[in-house]
Amino acid sequence: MICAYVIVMNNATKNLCLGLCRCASNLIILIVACFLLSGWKQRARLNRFADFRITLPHTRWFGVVFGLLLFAPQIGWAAGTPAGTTISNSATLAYSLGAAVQPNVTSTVSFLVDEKVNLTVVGGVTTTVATGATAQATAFTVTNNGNSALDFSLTVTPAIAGDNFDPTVCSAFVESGATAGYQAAQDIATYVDELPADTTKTVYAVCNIPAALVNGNTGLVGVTATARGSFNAAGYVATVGALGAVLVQSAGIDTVNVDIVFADVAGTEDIARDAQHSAHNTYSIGVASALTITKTVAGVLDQNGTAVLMPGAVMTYQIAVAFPGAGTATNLVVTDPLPANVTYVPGSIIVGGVTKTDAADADNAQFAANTVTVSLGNVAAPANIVITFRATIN
Amino acid sequence: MRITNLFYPAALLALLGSFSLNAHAADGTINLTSIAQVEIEVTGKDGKKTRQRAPVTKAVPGTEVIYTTTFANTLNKAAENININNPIPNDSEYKGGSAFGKDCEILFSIDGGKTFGHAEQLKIKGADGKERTALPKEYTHIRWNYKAKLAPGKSGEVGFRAVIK
Repeated sequence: MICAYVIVMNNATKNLCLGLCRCASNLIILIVACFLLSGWKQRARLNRFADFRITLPHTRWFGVVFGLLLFAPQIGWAAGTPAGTTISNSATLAYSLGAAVQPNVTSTVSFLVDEKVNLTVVGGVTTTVATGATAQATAFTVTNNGNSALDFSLTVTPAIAGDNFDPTVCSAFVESGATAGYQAAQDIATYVDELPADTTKTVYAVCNIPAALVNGNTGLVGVTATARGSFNAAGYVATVGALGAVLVQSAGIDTVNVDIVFADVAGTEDIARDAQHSAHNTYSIGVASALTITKTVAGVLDQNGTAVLMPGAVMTYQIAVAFPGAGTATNLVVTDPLPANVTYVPGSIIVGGVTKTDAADADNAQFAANTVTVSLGNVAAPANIVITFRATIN
Repeated sequence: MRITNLFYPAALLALLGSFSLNAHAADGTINLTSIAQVEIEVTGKDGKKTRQRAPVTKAVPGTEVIYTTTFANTLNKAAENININNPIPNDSEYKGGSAFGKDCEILFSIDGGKTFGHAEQLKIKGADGKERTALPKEYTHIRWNYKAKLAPGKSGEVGFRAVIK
């Protein structure tokens, strides 16, 4: 019987995660091992709850949006009358003098609808990253709640209190819509251009993650959107391909252009009624990658020089450790007790193309008690490590 | 915000306008003046907050605008059968219960001013085929039937509120 064990330790504890053993045949044994990252034992549960906390507001948010859509026909004016629209009230009076009907008299009053600047930035997302990783994107949304199209400039705030680290070299980019998720080659716009009223755009904060962080460390990152635009008496003036003017709230009655009224609420980095809104996302170091171990018989060589499984044939076992995603698996140890009826070929352990000795010495592999043990130490994702050794069928 | 006719002084301009349009200008007429206002909260010197009416300055969506129409008889005879017909302003929704007018029968229309009736008489067929009473926001017109005669030199006032969509 051939088994594989993955033993993972964090700084304080040593957990035997899994001693999963599956022996389908003498030929091919697939072992998908559970793996652990440092600190999994307790933090994993916390993170699961954290995930719920992250997910729920979104669910609610989408619920609210969906609700608004449902009620839209009744509300009728979610976006609001566009700035620059003339609203006129006209009263017509009819009368008679004695029996003589007189011409109607009409009076009209009219005014322009002003620009209501209102926007929302939604964050609250936790993005898992690896320590030392570059150009890590985390998504926010910017919604124009005003009554005209507007441009929105974006700034990223990396230094926020209440976390373990500050991301560095941050930029903000706008989702182009060509491919979902951040694509460095496609999502190159640095501001939201011409966002119609009542519409939402996905934007990304893209930052580098400092090196030498440990799993579970968090870094807050904020995105602030600032409404920009140009207005005249007829309302909003589109500036396609260019960022609109800085908006200034009108003090009194603007007799030439529409008034600008700020109606936004305070965000994480800004105050109410400042034509800005902001929110935080969290970079979290290394959780939630799937580490897999696959064991196969890579080759058989019998005494006749062919590949027949017979006594005396030598099998080459291959153990592939795949660790995609992000994060660092600490103190990773692969152990493989040999089954009965095979005999280990001395000095046959090869790790990542390097031959190891069988002795329990400075190198990270040994053969003892009929068991192959390879200590891989701290493994940063993404990683693929191949271990091979040989055994003779008795 | 560009405003026309908003201030009482500006009403003079409107008056001039109506003179030029009205064949009876020389003999006097019924002067009609519409104004649009908003209610704002003003804090007095004593710190007390009072609600006052002011010209429409910040007309953003959601603003409740008060429309007031005054009519004054500058003729030397009493005017009879006075009625004032007022479509709900564009991009606005009538605020239920806000129409006022002393000595007036106030009627509403939900069909673009073809027919008028009291609020409870206006019925709309819902999607399920059942009739229901029309909602204030579905009104298209308001009409004031002035029940008295307007003597020379006398005036009256009617009005309503509507919210900018």
